[in-house]
Amino acid sequence: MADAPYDDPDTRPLDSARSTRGRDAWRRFRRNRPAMAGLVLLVLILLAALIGPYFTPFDNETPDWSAFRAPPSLASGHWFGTDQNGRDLLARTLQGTRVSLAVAGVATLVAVVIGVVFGAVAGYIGGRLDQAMMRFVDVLYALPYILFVILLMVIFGRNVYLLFAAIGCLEWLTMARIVRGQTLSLRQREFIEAARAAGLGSAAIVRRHIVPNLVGPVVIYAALTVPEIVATESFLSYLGFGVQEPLTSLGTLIAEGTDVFEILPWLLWFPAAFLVTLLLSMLFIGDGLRDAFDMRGHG
Amino acid sequence: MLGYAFRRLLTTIPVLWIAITACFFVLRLAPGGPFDGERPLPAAVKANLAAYYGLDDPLLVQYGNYLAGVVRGDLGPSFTTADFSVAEQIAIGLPYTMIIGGLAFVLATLLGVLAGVLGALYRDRVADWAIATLILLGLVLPNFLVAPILQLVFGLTLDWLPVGGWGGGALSHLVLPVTVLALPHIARISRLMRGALIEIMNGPFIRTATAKGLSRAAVIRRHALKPALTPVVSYLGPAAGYLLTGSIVVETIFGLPGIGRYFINAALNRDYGMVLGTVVFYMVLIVILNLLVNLVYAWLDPRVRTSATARGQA
Amino acid sequence: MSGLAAGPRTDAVPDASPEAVLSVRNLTVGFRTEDGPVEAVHGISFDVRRGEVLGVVGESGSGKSQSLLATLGLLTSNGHARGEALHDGRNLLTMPERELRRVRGRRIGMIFQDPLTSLTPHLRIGEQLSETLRLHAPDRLSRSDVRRRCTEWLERVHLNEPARRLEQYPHELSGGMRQRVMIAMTMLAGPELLIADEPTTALDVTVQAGILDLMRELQRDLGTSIVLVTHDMGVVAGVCDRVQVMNGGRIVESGTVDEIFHAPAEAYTRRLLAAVPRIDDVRAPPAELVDPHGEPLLRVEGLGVDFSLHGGLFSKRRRFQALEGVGLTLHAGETLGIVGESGSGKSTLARAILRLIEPTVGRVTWLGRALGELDAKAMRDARRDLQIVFQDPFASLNPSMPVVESIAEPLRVFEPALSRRGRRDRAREALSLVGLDDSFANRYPHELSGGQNQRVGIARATISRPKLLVCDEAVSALDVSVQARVLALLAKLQRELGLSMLFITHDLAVVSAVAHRVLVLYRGRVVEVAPTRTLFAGPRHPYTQRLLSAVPVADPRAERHASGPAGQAGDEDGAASNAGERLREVAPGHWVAEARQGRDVPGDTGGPGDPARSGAEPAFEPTAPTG
Repeated sequence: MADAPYDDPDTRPLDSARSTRGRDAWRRFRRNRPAMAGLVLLVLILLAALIGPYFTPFDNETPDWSAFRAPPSLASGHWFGTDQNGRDLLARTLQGTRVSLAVAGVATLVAVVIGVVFGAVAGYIGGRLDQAMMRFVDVLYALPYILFVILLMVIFGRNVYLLFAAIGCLEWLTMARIVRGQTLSLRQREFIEAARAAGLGSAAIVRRHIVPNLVGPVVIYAALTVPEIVATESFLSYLGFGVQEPLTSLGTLIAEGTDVFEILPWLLWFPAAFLVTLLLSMLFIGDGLRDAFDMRGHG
Repeated sequence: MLGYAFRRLLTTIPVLWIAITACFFVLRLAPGGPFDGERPLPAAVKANLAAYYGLDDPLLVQYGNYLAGVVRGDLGPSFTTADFSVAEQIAIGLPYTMIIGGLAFVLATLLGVLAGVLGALYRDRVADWAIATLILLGLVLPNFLVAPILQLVFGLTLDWLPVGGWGGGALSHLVLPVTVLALPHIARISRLMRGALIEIMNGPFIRTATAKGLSRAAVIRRHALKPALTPVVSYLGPAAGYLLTGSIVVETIFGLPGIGRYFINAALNRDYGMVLGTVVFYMVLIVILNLLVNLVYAWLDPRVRTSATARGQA
Repeated sequence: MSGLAAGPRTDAVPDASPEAVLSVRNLTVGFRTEDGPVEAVHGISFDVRRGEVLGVVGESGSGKSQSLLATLGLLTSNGHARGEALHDGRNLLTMPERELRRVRGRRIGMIFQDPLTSLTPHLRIGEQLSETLRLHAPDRLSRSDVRRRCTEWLERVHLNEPARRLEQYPHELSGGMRQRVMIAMTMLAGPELLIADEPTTALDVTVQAGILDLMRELQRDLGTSIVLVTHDMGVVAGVCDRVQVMNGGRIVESGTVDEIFHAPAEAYTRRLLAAVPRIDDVRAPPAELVDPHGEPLLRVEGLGVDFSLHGGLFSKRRRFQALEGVGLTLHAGETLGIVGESGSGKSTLARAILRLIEPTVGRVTWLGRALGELDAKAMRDARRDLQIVFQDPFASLNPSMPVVESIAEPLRVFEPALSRRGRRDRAREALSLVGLDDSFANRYPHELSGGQNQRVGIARATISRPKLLVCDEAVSALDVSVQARVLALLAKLQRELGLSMLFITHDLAVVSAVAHRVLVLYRGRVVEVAPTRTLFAGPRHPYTQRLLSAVPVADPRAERHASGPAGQAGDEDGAASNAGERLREVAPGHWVAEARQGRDVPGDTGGPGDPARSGAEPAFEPTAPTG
């Protein structure tokens, strides 16, 4: 096994630019046009929902006695028109968007936290505990959770915070499954064994090796979950189980709009447009993230 | 195969039992009873009602009675509709819900698979983009939005289809509700199918099949379809659940006399008996449907069946 | 020594007409990737002559597989091919799909590397076989005819119980059996040319010998031309008539097998041949032992590992015995090679010694202390001296950590006093020791090649200056030339750091070049231990003999004069299950397992119920040909 008499390509210094996986993923994401469009739209809607209310001529509660059931017009200042109580639809839509996004955000957070902890523990410890925990998830999965949520709403009344928590509890199941699957496959990877051979304890291994590698799938799934949560919240609000007055959400607005659809169509169209745009853009972003992070093979 | 089915059945029963128990206790332990309505009732009347409905028995006794009733098919009395018990109301509404739900299920599966296959075959060409856009809309538009829009377009403007009502089960009355119910699932199934088919088509055993000299159609039909169906079939289980919950909305909007409407009314009127009974019923139904789906899955993938012991060796 | 059908091969194809069954001219293959178009094959030309076996050899990325896939139009959807692939006077590359389909299977057949994923998992073997037959049969065949012909072919490829196999699914057969099924399936259509793309790479060496024999048999009996794509020079030397060497998408050199192996004209070919380890040329061990008769650093006695497997909620737990009664010693500065095929338990052994998994029974003594009795803290301290390099260079590094962090990690545990800066400096030092300069420090594993990642793994394993380094198939995933350089690196480190090594591998040729002594494992038991030269010159145990005879040597002359493989199929099963715990010293330092008293040979059909099969390959198939 004599030394090779030529320059070993392996040992030649590297000169190209560094690239982390995050940077690679971002580059791929940027190239995905629907995803970028979705991102732009989402940012616009977010800005509108957060800062908009400071700029609208009317607020969402005070009825405008001079304009009941007014169709949208730029001249009157009611760009989206008003509802039966004279409230400005633009302001109400923005408020509804804020509420829907807030619910989605909190619920996603709840789902992520519970799901990640549950899934990571089940996946890392494995064995009997994992089997038991996953059985538990299977059981819950098979049940119509929406009905439970409605059940809870019936009993405890329409509390916004309960809504957050309940919806979050709906979604953590799939997050837990994904995290567990990912943890299981990570745990069997050799770099975990290498860490143990280096003397690291379980806590350090989970902290340094498992969690950082969970970020990718969790982010992707969270991004894909948010539109589902927004849709679920709208669904509940539509049925009458969502947020109460004076708060409103896109779902409630749509419900109200559907009732008077034939005579005051704008009451349906504007909130619906916002909801659909929101959902579409989040969907594109979620898909884009998934494609961007998709590491099929390596080297 | 039979052994596998039996084993899955055995694991389902505890699941159901736990769920029913959870529902029962949550309801019973909640503050307020079914008769705490808007007008406070005189104590004597309350006591009588409680005795009549067995609400003054110890909780565990009530639970035991309820469980026994469930096994018999008796879901207890409805607290707001004195003339019909819960089971009777469900029995009345069930056929309508089943017809709508069943049709939607079949439609969603067939169209979804078809759209998915077409999307995979004509990938990135015009047909794929067209289908993809429709799919996207189906995914994103909530059913309570699609319904009124379709009602407006087809019912009022074009006047092709009736806006609602059962109409004695006439096909024209079924078209809109079934479509609205099925739409999001067509979308999801088609996405799953397309993704799975594309991935499999790039896989090694497809290469072998092509190398044999088979035509593309034969390769897809015999080698690619079945494995590509597995994620779709996995989705069908939860889909059955979603269809049932979705039917609640659809029945309300289109005025159909199914279970969903009873459920909503009961929920809004705090008829605990009915709510509990409906939830229990839905759960049993969903669990059974999931079991069936699992069996289909096992049929599709022989590895699940034959390697019951090998599975433990992974 | 590769178990070939007997007979010289210099005049192998007496009536070979010089006319070619496939002529490739100016073939270019390219792919559209995210990062732009990539050209994998740059305008190559070659012929496949009628009745010959042509070897196409090269390392990964040489384009050897892609060029053959392109001729049959089997590239992935983002690939495209230009040029000519002439068959029967027509260009396959420009043929309409309908006609290409008539060529595929019927005139030119192809088999692939991984038989598990290359057979359709949800169709029975019989269905996949009959599909080919029905597709290409000239007239309508009755069902019983089809069944008969399929069964005949299964027998012809030496598969036992052919009727039963027809009803089974691919995952119920072992790898070697599946590959035989692939061959049968392809040959059923009667093609005149068989393209075999790395057909034996995923198989154990004894199984490989059987498959290669089978292919040679087919070529002899049916006159089928064969193109054998492989990276293994030994395989080429034993089976091929002509060879072409590929590198970087171009043909470097081509000629008869004698010309290539004994008179290579190109520098690349020479380098490639020089990098291939050979078992017929056992050189001196890499380093002199410090004190061969002193107290061993490591002593393992009666080691056993049982796995108990859950079968799910309603199945019983089953016990699987991965190791039984294993013992060994290791002296300072020594390299002990641990050799075995899949299912032998060699990786389990490595992990049990290091207590990465807990042994069920037995004793591991390191520097006089029993490792099994150490508490967690003491074990952690002991790990400083016990390090391991893994097989998959990419999988053994955390993908989200820069390389320098991975290397520095052991220092967090073993030298906690070091500051972050101090750790990084030491890591950089370790990097340079393995030949990588500072520009590698902040890179991520996915930016480095396999060889570079493996060097990183070695740097990590040696940073704490361990006394024992376990190399678990550390070079098996590397190309031959990269492998040679990494082995040289390991030898250098062993000299400089005074390392003792447990070198685990399935590749006998590699172990012959690095180890002082060799231990042979079969199905969890030790069957033979001896100094390297002694073992290769005169193996005593039937399994070792069979193993050695199956290894293809990269020298066509040696291959031609090989006698048939030692022993008969089925012998070694009896021998190994009788291996027992008793090792008998037949010569100084040479131990051989001997038969246990009164133990029947368990029926070993290699079927799915066989506990030794459990997902791992059996080393032998029931009716593997013996030449």
